[in-house]
Amino acid sequence: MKLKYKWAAVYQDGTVHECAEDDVSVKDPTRSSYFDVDHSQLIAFALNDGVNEYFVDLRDGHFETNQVPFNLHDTDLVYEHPKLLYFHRNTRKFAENTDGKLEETSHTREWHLGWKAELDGKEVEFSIKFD
Amino acid sequence: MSATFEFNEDNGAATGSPAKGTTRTTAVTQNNWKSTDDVATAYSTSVIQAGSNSYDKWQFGKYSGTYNTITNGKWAHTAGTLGAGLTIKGKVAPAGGYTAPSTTANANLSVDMTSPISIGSGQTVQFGVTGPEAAGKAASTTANPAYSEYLTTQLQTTGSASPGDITTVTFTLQYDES
Repeated sequence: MKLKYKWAAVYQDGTVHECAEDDVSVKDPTRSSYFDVDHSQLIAFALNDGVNEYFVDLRDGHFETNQVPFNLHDTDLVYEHPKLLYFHRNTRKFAENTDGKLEETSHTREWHLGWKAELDGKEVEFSIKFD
Repeated sequence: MSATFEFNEDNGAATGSPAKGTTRTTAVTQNNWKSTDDVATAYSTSVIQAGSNSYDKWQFGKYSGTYNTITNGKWAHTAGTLGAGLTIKGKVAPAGGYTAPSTTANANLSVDMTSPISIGSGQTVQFGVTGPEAAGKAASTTANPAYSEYLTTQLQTTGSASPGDITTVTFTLQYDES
């Protein structure tokens, strides 16, 4: 199934790595294209469906929705080792139809984008979610 | 591209170690509780008599396609209210592993799933390689294909159960994919 959002990864040298058109990894065809992201060089990540864009900057932790910036974290605190959070939450509902067959009555995806880091030795997470 | 999902089901005597069903059916498209331990028999010809139980159902999820990680699984009965005399017992990965389905009340199905709940309050589902019976399940897997733990249920009835089809119930499986 084709995914709604295409991602773009921004690296430290300014290059932008975009999700493959078929969303299949070039390194491992059993993986999605996200497998190819070089997290050691990653500074920002965006999701775009052609209408809306969601963006997170791992350098300062700020988010953007359609270029409108905002923070979820306390900017006076020091967060260490920030890492990208990105996944889509699949909720699949199944019920029998009148013929006794199991039907998938709905399959929704909720997208999560954010970052996690260490604060005073504990892991903390900040993320946004959208359909 | 993304993960592809299907239900599989084990039936028959326990075989192997860790135990699994003698028969494993892939791409299962029904989960009818009935008085026969198989996938194919129509529930309408395999009626559960009031006061008896269904054979326990040993289904599980299989993931293939393209993905990086499957994690954070939840499973629950989320809609559909059963009538009097009907109870759904279930458990993710029942204690002791796979046992041959029977109409005896399975004491290892320790969760009363009769009432619908939100998926956020559902039972945790873990994932791993080879099959639901395999050791080493974890909250997250990068294996491909990957399998959930057994999602086992049984419909238990009393003599007060009404004849005819039960209300349709909805089960929800939730997981995170990247």
